[in-house]
Amino acid sequence: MTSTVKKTLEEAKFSPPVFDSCPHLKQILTSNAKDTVYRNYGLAVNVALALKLRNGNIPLYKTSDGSKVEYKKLARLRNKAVRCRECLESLSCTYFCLQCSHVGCWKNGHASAHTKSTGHVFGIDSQTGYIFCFRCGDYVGDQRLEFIRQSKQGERTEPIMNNLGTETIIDGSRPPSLKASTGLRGFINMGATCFMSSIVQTIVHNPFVRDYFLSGYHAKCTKKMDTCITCCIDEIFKVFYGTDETKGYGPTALLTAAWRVKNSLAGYSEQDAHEFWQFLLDEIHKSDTELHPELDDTSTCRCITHKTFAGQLQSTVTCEKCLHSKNTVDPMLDLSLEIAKISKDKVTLNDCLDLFTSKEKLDSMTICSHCKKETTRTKQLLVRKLPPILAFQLKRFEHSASSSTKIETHVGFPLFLDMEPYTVSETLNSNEQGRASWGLMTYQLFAIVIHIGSVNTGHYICIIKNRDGNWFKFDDSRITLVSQDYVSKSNAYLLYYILCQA
Amino acid sequence: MTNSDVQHLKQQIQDVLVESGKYDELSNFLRSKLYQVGWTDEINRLTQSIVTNEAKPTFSNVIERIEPKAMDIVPEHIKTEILAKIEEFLKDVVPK
Repeated sequence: MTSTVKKTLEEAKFSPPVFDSCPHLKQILTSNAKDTVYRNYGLAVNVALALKLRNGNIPLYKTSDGSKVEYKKLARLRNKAVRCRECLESLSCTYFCLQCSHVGCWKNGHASAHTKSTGHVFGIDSQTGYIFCFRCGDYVGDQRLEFIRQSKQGERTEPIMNNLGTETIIDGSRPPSLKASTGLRGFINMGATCFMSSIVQTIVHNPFVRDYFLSGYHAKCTKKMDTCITCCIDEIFKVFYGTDETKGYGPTALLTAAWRVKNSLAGYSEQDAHEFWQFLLDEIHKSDTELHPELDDTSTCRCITHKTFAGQLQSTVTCEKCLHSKNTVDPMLDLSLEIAKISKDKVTLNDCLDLFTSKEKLDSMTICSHCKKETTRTKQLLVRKLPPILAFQLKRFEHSASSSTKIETHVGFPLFLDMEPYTVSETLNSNEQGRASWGLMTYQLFAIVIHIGSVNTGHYICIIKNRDGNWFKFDDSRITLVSQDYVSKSNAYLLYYILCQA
Repeated sequence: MTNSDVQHLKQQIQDVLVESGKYDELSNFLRSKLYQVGWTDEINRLTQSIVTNEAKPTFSNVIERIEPKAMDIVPEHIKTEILAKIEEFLKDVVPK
């Protein structure tokens, strides 16, 4: 048992390949040519990924005498290197031959023609560094080649260090079953508790939070489940991902602890899922900073809650006469959007974001501190810092003294969301040319929480995308596979987007 | 103008586009627009259905089936907008 686990940890040094291997790749990597292959691949990937962003910045290149190479020159050199030898095409997909110095394009078939005439098999994608097998007609992968590619890309190649110490993990563990590793398990509804279970499901399937708990970051907590909500969540992670059990889980411990901490959660009426989400995130923040006080020592808290969800909003107030403006920056954990009332029949999330970031005229007249004249002012909200997980709440519920109403309007939401139009222009990292480094503001939808029914007698369900891209609907203890169309047609209340890697 | 002249001119235009950073800018602009109008979502959906219905899906056979459709469903107004931007850029760059 131990030797199997040890071997897995050794191999864990290399990241899993994105693509499966093929017989042609296996053959060349077990032949005498394999070292040349690794070397040539490394060189090709260097060129392919030369100008790719690392941590939001274009990497710095220096000549042998230490002087900086201009971006323009780098772009020119790279463009020349990736150009198809036959038709000079360089903007679309081209492939470096693994076995010679040929470069061929996909579009006009020159890469393919080269492999046919020479008997060479592999092309290295000049935009991504992935390997294409022209015999199989498909991208292929290998552990060690993927390691080379990822290290050139500047991505982390060390496995995530667990918080408990390697020895404990080796001695006490076995690999989880495939079934358990999906973490798919429903919650039994204990009486109007679906507002809680829907939110917890979005946390259970949140990759950042999942990694935090499964790496043992809460394991050293000395409190017990009856007083520590985070311990209850930790237990849920352990049980959902560690066991094969699929029948509904009764969250009794979580409920008891939640009622203890916040009295208002007790009772028979349905609570607001969004409020519970805020509450849960706060509890996790408190636990994390208690266990790891060093996380909260600067103005930016680096606990798991804040690292995952925290962004910043900038409010700009501008004098209408002299155009002098004043900025205030506030932290945010999510964006609460009013549902835009517009004339066209389908309102979308983008419409609501447009409304949120539109210039609002402030009613009161004031004396501008800059031009000293009496003037009206405009206010505009824009996102200043984007978090890895961007959460939205659509303000569907309106509570007044006399009554509560629910807005049922369907709001269309994209599966891929570009946040660039809603951010402050300084948020963009400009490189020396003053251009925005893009690709850091595109999000992918991964979970929605839906409220069905009227204000007081409603039901919550959620739909979450798992690792393989399948959408699962969680309705208490019933989990069903649903289509992308079903998701898009759903009437979302809360939406969770995860930052896409460019 | 011979074929080789055309090819050469094309190459020079590509070079200028890349070096000036205009290509990246146009590329990002196009990508953003396509997200906004739901083109990316639609392609995602179509690709999923092609992959599910294909006995042995490979990059080659999937792209063969999706590429023409993908080009076809780009909304006209986006095509016009991008072409206009490219034209404007080239006006400043290519000598008559």
